[in-house]
Amino acid sequence: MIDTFFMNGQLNEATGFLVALAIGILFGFILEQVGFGSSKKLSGVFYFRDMVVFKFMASALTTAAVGMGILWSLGRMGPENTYVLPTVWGAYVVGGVLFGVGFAMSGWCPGTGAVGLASGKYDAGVFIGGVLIGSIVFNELYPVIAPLYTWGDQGVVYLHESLGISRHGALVLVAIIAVATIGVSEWIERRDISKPAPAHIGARILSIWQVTRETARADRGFLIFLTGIGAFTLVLLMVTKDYTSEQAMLKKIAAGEDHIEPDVLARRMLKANTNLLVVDIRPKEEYEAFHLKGAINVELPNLPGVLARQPRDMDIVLYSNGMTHPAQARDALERAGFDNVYLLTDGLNGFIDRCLTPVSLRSEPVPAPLATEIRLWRQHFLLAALTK
Amino acid sequence: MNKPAKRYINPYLGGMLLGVLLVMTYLLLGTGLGASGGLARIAASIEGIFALDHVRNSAYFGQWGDAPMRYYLVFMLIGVFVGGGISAFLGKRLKRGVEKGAAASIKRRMTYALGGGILIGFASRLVRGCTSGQALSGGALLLTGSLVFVFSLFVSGYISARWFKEQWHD
Repeated sequence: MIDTFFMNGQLNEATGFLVALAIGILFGFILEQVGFGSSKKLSGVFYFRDMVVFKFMASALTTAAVGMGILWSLGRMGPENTYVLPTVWGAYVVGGVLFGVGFAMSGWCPGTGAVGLASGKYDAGVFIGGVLIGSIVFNELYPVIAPLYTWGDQGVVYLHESLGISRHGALVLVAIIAVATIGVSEWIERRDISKPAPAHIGARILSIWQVTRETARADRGFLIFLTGIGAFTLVLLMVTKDYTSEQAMLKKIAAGEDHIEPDVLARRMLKANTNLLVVDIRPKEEYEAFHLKGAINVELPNLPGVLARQPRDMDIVLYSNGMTHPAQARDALERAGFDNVYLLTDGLNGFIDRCLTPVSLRSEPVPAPLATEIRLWRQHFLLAALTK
Repeated sequence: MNKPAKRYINPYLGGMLLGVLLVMTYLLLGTGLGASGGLARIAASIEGIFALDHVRNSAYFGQWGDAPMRYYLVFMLIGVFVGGGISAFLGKRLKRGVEKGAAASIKRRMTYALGGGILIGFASRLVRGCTSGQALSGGALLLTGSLVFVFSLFVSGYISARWFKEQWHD
């Protein structure tokens, strides 16, 4: 893991300040070189006059996303050494709406405003003054709007989590949207506005596609961008692993959601029609010597075949004397796509201890309701074995 | 000032360059780029000049203590200003004045610049960032919130742009 200033606490020390300053200089330089020192050019995006804002943001975001995606997948960067902002739905939507109006109104945003001011634009200076005032207004209103500030706070949420896809999938999706945005931008700028746009949506999409291809041929910058992200995305997909599904499974295991407690299982087994299938995964001889009444015997390699024949809403509980084999089997089955498999906590030995040992033989006192249940369970599970 | 300005660079190349810079920023600082954060700190300092105790006790500005400018984003913002100035100088684009449509009045343009600034100053605190910090830097990490912010901002911008069209009329 790379030792960033955020991680080692030097961010707000002299070295951090110096590095931030240097980065800022490069940042401001690039912004101005692209033309963002001009509010007229910036606001052009809203009037379909000049789509540079979309072209620039799409290529910048995608380039950075691919780069960070590779670093993140290789474990060099992660939440430990990166400052990650939370997702606060309410605040961000409301803030986004206000920001959009402000951007369309002024033709600036904070970064470009600084560049505009440096270029000599008085309107940028007034804009910056407005931003300072707006920040102060926020501070003054904060006691009142604090609920809005945290409205819809989900903590750190990634796109792939919100969409339920893999992390690599989310990156590819964003890249596709970025290229489509660029295509639409080029199409908007190039088309002959004296002629009406193709009416049919299919013809319009084809037209945008053609313009995108033309741009790739004619605009060397765009070609370099496409080649670059294409190549690096390929590297990302081939060289790194996407652990999204494994992480989801590990979270489930950590939360204990893959277990079922013996008493919970016992109660459920005594009821009829609960969509439950209990599977004893021990060798046949052990099963025949004693097993839980109602459980079937399936040896490990046969599990997928048996489970595949069960209805989708069936809950499957695996047990053995201990927990190791059932846990291993459960995880293998989950990876194979069976998401309804559980293991018995503490195994058959634990079940016998907690549910079938007579009250009189226990070292701790047992509350009356549980004592009644234990008697019922002994009758149900043991009588069956005795009268087998 | 009659020398023609140099051309802007290709937006895709510029975008790629910024993307690479953003990755380097994450590698070095562990944070993304930012501009509004610096301005908020400066605002806290300015309000502190007039009402220090009030600022110290404020729920929002108060959390930054007595030296709110001791913050990396303030230095980054200064850098943006310097870098922008250098680039404008080299590109022969240094020009004092108010940029607006030929037929528009300076008063209208300045009113919009101020009003938009106030809105953005407020909104950027609400979203913990702006187009650089939230949209670009957060978007590069594929954070849902950042992408929600970008979407919301452009939809809102497109809808409201019609109200502010006159300032660009030639």
